Amino acid sequence: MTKANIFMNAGWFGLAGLAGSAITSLAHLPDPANLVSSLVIFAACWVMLFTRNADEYTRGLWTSGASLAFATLLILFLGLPFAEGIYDGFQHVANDAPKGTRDIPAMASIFFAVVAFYVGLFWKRLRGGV
Amino acid sequence: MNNRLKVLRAERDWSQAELAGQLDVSRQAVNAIETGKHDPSLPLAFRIARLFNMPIEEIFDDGL
Repeated sequence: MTKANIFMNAGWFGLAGLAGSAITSLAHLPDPANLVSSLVIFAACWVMLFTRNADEYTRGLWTSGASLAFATLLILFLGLPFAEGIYDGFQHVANDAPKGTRDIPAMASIFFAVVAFYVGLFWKRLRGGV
Repeated sequence: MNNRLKVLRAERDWSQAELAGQLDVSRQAVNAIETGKHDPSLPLAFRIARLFNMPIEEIFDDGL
């Protein structure tokens, strides 16, 4: 199996892990199931990191995913506190919730960045560019 | 960018894997170039042109 094939297959495994993570979260399955999905996602990312230079096409796929993930992180870096503020604003009016609690966890940024990475990678792969 | 890679490959009765082997890229890269999902770098475009013994502009068309 060539490095390019490993990269491509790792992409599918990562996407499957992402789907598994979404299903376990939505179905409220036990934490070990979510942990396995997360491990698959990050293992796939690591495999792709080390095989991304197989040729210029795999490098392009990686760059597309990484660019979108970076852009997502930048947007969330500024946007997440705003979203939290807006959410808190509505919550305080409706429920008089205590101040200082975070409704949108900071870890959400990492999750969204990983999702953005796979979206960017597969968009380039299936449609030819973001 | 449009290209005639698929036609040129078919004329020579090469598979994508055979062409990829001659260009030192993956079969997926050849497929992506043929379907217009990936524009090759200049060095790869030169390798393709040299392999088919044609000028680059006869293989690739930027549509302008």
